[in-house]
Amino acid sequence: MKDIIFDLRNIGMCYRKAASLPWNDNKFWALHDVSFQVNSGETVGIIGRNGAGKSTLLKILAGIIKPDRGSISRADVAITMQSFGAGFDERLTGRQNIFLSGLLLGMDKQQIFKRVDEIIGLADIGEFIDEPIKHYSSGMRSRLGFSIAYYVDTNVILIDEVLAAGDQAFKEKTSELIKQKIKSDRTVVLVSHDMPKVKELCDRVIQIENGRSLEELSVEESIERYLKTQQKK
Amino acid sequence: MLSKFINLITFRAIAELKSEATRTYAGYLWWILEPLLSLAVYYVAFKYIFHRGTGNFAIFLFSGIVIYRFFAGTVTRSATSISSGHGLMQLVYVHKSIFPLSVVLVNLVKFIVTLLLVIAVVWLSGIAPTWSYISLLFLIFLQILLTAGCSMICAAITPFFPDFQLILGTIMNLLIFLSGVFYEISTLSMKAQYLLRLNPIAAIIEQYRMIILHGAWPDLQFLMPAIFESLILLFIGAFLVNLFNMYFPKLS
Repeated sequence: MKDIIFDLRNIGMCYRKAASLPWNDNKFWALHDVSFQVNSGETVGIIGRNGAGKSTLLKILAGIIKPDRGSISRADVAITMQSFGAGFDERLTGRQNIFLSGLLLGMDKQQIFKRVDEIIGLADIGEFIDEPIKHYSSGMRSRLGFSIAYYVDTNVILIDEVLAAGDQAFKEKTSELIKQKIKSDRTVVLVSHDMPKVKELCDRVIQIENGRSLEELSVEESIERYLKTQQKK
Repeated sequence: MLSKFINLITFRAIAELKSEATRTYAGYLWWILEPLLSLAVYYVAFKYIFHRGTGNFAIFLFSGIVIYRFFAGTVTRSATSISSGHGLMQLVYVHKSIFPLSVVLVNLVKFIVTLLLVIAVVWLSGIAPTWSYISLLFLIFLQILLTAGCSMICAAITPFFPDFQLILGTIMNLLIFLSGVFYEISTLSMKAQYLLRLNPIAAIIEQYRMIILHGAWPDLQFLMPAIFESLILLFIGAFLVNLFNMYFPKLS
């Protein structure tokens, strides 16, 4: 029997308009009714149209926000969301930002010290690493962000691929690295619009439409259903 | 868990200090220039326009300004700290108290530097330090509690009510006149003394001066309300931020 990592039942989540008091009704429901489970070692793809609530769902899995309805239980394991460039400060150097972002993503100082050279190597930034990142090109910045997140190593990882950036060569490189990570025995939840990749990597697929999870089908059938809804639009 | 929390606050504070210094030509020098400039403004206003202040008025004023600025500057900056951390809190889970608390730490470092400058200036003017300076540590600690409490309260209010930030500016402008920065509380009527010392920052400033300008030990009796209020404010602040900890990321 496999351990259940995530167990979501009838999750609903609403955002509130800023500058509104907690007791005022300014709600905007991003998720209405989502239920699914993720077992240990699985790679689960989450697909759905823009604005369906995929990113919100990932934030709930990561424990960044709490659902307003329904229940979620999480196994007691370290979970990281691959957030690129979390907490970057424009005026600090690449090296300083590695520490800042690494700490935020959950690494401790020793881990960062150990991995800092590898991170710099993967980001391929060269001497610019000791320059303030405001002088970086957007490609360099996203490479640095990716590399930091890549070296945060936990057994459960959440990936929002829609956010990935960089030039074509780097995209291919990162895509390869992520694939390797996914194929290991980690538990992965992957938000993606790239259907061939979902087909290749995912054991299961959850489709979200208008804040609701649809009935779970096999990977192929899910993708077919998703492509149909895309055409209807 | 706690060590991670402290690490994060410390590193964010160091990063902020470095980053601030790169923003201007004078860099770290601004830690001292800023209070000196505001000293110049108030000194001219009170000495030459209102013809107030006697003796060591410049030192008296400078000490008050430096202590008050630590409090007011931190609370004002903290007020927007959770709001401006909105992007970050969408990416990683952090306890939202790190936003105001790292502002407190940033300003504490600057405050210590300027306080040392005040002490140096006082010494140069002929008042040598005494053993009572040890009790400065207690006052600094008390001021940290007070400042952290008020900072967390204000940081928790602004996301719901952004206008508060503007109101806060006015409150701070008013509070400086009620904190004995420009005058000695002990020269006022008994009733005014009693009321002013209920203001924790006024009581704290008065006792700082007792130590630095008179070489005396602080009068604990006058600090009791401040100690009591600081603890209550700290408790309220921590409670509010913790209460809305998971709510802030949902405000969009």
